[in-house]
Amino acid sequence: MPDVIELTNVSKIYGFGNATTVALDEVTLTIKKGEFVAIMGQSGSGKSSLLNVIGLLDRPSYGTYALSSRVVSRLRPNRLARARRDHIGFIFQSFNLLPRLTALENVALPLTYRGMTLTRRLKQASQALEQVGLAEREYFYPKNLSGGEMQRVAIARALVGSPSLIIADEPTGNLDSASSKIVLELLAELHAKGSTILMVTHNPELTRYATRVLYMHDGGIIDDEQTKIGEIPIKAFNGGLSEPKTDEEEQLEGVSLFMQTIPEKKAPGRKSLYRKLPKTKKSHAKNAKPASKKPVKTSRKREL
Amino acid sequence: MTSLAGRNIQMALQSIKSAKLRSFLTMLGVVIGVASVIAAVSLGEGMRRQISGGLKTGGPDVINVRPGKLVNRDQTGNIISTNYQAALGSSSLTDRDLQEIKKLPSVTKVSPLSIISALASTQENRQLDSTIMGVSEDFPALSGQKLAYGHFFDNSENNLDTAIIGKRVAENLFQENVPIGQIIILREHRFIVSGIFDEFSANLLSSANDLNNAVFIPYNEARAISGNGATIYQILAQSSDKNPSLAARDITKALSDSHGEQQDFTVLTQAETLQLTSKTLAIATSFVAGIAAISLIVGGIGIMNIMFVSVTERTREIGVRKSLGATNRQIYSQFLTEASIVSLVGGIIGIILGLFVNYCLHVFTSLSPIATWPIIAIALLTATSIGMIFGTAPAIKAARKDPIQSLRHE
Repeated sequence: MPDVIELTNVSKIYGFGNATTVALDEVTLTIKKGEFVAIMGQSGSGKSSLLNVIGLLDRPSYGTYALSSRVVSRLRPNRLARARRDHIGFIFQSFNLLPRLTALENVALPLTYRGMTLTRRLKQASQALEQVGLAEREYFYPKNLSGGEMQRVAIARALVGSPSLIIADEPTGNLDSASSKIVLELLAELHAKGSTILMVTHNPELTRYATRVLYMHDGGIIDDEQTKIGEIPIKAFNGGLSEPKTDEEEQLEGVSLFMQTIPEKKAPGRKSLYRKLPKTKKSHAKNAKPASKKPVKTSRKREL
Repeated sequence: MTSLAGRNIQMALQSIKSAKLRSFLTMLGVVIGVASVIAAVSLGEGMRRQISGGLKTGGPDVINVRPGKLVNRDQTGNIISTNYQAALGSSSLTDRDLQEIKKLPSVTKVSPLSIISALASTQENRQLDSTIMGVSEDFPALSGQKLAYGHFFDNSENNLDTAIIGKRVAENLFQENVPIGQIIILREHRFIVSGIFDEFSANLLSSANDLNNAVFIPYNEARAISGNGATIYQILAQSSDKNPSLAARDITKALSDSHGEQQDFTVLTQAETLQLTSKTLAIATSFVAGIAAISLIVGGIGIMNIMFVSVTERTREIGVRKSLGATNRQIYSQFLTEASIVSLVGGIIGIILGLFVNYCLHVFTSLSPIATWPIIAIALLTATSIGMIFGTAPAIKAARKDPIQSLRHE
């Protein structure tokens, strides 16, 4: 399978001087076509920053990002927008449908920016809505749809342009369990048809649909495991931090990785900018190798 | 990208429809601005046509003599500057000037326009504050004004106590349309009404007085009843030749002689009068239109203000659009289109309102504004440009929004 996403030592740093925050810390990640990747982690662990970089909404401060074998980490905003338009489909937690457009028009919107004719884009949008089971809601405005239906419209909007990657940011965060199930089943169906999906979630239950789970902590990927569809990895319940914490870790709880490091010298390059503190725990290792090499023994089945 | 342009226009119309009151208030400035520019310019155009039309009926060979040095000429006789204040104060034209002009062989018809102060009353002692004018029997031919009823006086002795009245005098003093044969009393002298003029068109330069509210009596009679106190404020003369410049030169020479070589009078041919009138009117029109244009600018600022608010309100929408692949340029053109459409719709409503104002002026006053197609086209173009100019800054603000921040915006 070809790589859809290839991140090499990607860092994202916000602010400057004493107010610097490291949102992503030298992340290296490869996602292959057809994978359904779930990203888990606590608030502030860098999930959103990673999504923003992968979704081309933001550029990495350091490192290289190749999307479908094309390096996109240094593109100018307009080219970035075009790459986003052609390769990425977004699904947001709060749906983000435009209230003044009908479901059909909302779904057709990404095609508008591709310069497609009205008839063609409405036809494609109609097909996408049919795919999510909302063919009869085409002319409904978002205010007349339920939460689950709105998210299904958003899914239709994400898939209408046949993107290389669908990014879902907490797609069930605002939904009840029944609607959540429908939405996830839809994503699973898309995955089964060959779409590559990247989903951020707080809900361990949802990882059952994924083929791979990434755990993030303080801007780095602390664990990366391949899972089977239908199984929930046990680590998903504690965000990948499966081993007991040391006293030192307890004291440093809530302090970012950046604060735990001491600047060594002024930067000729990013790599030599910081000297890492001696690591106390294996699970804090950056760029962890896929955990699939060490099979997870403690996975169990759960019903939603 | 035509489909996107069409989509932008559709979105803009939707946006206007979804907030009707706000959109209307936004475009109100442009509506008022365009309406007042249309009304002002068409009023000016109407007057210009009235005046040139009125002068044409008098004929191109009519020469106009006025007191005061109104114009400065270069050596070839072309007008280089004007001085309207010279017309103020007492008249420098006298009865002698009139007689001098009458003597000239190059002049066929002459009529003074003189005013005496008198109050017109009827036998029933109804009074009217009207202008009493002393003119010669050539006045109708020289002014190109026709009588609605009756006949004008000639120079025979029988007609000495004859008066011709304007339409308004007939209506207000006699309270009937055709008071021919009725008696009108001026300074205790009785005159018989023998004719009623057609309505005079509003003619700025002919007189500050409303000729529809004037009583016309023979000049000699006016002099007699006022004790030689008739002030001549204008003399009209017709050239015997089709080209009036020869007669104009003769008149200038004759008057210079009688005024002791002092140029305290002005001789204008019809073409020159027209030129002066148009010039004055153009200045007045552009002045009024300029003031009206200020409200257009105020309207533009209103649009800019609301568009800024709209950009802030729709920050999340901008974020969503950008996440779906909209480029900065596409967001820019969306908001610019919206501002232009608001302005254009405002312009169209403004034109309709302006035409309605014109209609009202036409019906309820003696003014007759004329809106021409170029005026309407320019108004429409200006309105759209206003939207584009004042919509640029908000559109740039929208285009530059950061997609991540915008998506987080509540």
